[in-house]
Amino acid sequence: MGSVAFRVVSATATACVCLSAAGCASGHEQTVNATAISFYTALEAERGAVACALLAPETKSELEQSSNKPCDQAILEEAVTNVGDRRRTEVFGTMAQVRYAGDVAFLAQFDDGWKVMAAACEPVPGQPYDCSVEGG
Amino acid sequence: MSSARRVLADNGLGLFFAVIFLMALVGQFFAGLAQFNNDQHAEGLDTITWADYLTSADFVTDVTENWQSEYLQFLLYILATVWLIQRGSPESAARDEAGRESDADQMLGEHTVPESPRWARTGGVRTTVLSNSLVLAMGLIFLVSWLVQSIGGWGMYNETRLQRMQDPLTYPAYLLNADFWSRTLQNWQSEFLAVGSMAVLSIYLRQRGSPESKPVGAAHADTGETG
Repeated sequence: MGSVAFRVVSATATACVCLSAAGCASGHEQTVNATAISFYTALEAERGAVACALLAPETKSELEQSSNKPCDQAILEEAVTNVGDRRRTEVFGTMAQVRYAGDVAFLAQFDDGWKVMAAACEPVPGQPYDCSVEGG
Repeated sequence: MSSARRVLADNGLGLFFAVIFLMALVGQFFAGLAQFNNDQHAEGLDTITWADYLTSADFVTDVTENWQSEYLQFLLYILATVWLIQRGSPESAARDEAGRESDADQMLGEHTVPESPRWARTGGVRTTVLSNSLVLAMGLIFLVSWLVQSIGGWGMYNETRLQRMQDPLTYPAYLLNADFWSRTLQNWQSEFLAVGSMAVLSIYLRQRGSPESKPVGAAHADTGETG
């Protein structure tokens, strides 16, 4: 394929990805990463209330119910700290995944910004991740 | 007759389908938005605005997966009717007319009339392009729609996978995934059935006044005759 034709196809495909996958990384990736960084920074600093404010409502509710503790205490027991370097961020529509060397987090877009749906996730071959912190 | 009424009368078929297309698309948009937000609510997620839905993978995929199959249907029908015949069908060429036909039959080159398109007269690439322009246009719209469906479907499928705490797929992996082929083939089969049954049913059934049908009194065996 000629370079001009390739550029046209690439540009079209990129435009389509931006439009239809709502995955224009530049748009959402930064805010997703900023939320994830704030979440893990709060956990490292043992500021449970700050971390809980970044949880999705269902996740926060589930964490409190399953632990029988206030969120700001439970989150410090369940979540992973020292997650290491960020490996990859992927955004599709209203959902995102951020992979660190030591953890995987799933985030969702809410009216007031991106929130953590699940964290402290372990991969299970052929199955969804097993997450210590997750919603219903 | 005023010029506006004349334009309406002369273009009634195209305008009618343009209007009902837009009405159906708007209806699909609002129904799809409501369904999307119901699903969001069930997942404990916030609803999205109509503006976000307009550019969402969900809406784009739902629209283009139907578009690609419709244009593929017409593309194949136009091409298949060049060489394949269906005896008795008004959609088919007669047996002795199958194929690309002669320049005289197709009014090309020296057989053009003053009203013929200029590219029918020039020969070479231009005449080749004009001779196949309908299939080229249909084919291009099919391919672009299918490409957009595949990218939108990839985004939509991965959004669902992330809601289920699964890793997203790469685009090449999605092209081999059952979701992509299920969406594609469920549309293709219905289009192939509709166009095939049209070709066969029109052998025996009639719609008085329609060019898609034979005249009501035409014999079942008459091929390529339109009324």
